Amino acid sequence: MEYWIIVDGKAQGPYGIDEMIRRGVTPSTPVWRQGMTEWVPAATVRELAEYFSVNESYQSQQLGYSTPPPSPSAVPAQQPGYGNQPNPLYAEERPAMPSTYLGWNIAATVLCCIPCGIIGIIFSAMVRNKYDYGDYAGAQNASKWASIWLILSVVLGIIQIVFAFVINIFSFL
Amino acid sequence: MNSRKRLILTVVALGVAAVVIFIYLSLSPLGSPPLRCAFKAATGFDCPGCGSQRAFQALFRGDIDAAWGYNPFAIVAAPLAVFMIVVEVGKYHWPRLHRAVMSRWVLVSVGVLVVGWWIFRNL
Repeated sequence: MEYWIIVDGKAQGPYGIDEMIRRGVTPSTPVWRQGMTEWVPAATVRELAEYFSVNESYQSQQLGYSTPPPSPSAVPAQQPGYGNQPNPLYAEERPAMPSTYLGWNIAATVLCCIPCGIIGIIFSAMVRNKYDYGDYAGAQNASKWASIWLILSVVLGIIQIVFAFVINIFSFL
Repeated sequence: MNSRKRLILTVVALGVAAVVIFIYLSLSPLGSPPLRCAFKAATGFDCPGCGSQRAFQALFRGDIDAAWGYNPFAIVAAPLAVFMIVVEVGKYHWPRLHRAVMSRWVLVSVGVLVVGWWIFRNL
């Protein structure tokens, strides 16, 4: 399997795994191969993650850690990962991205005449941001808030429509 | 709920929505006073959606120039919103399309455009 990598801000490749590592790929280097929808950190790709964990266990043996490192093939997909990513599953096994409610929030912003929709749009963007960083619980939470603001703007929109109709009726009497 | 019931409910709901929207858009202009924006009533500033009702009614009459004049943002955002809603509702059918459409770039641009439009129209 050959990968493209982004090193020093430049996309390079395609390279085989050994060639990539020689070119300084770290667990956080963005990589892409045919069939992926987007660039992902190298550590979130299973076959590369295995390489990194082999390397790491080798290093820890060198440092004389007393606990034996897990064998790389036994590393479960849910193993806590590298860097600041709280729980990165491998890119191929990531959960589906939660709903962003972006379309609904745009519609609410335009139709409900209540600027709450804009706050919803900000949460929509946070869904993607957290998802990309592997924070799936955070993405889920942002998705929930995007829907809460959406519901709020729809409810307030309906209230003011009803209110306006009542005023209209009274103005005709 | 089985799939046939769901289909019937969806068709009925869409039919009702279509009739309501048709009647609403045919009321032109809206009664007096028109449905005022609460934000505008409270602050005197236009919200990003102000003018969208008149814009859609003008569009319904076929008066594109007037629609654009009332709220160009609404005219551009409406098809975009419909497209995004379809993508999101069908995200389990087209997960790649969902991830591609809801890219960070798109999300941030939409946020910046809405807020930018809001500020711009009040200058």
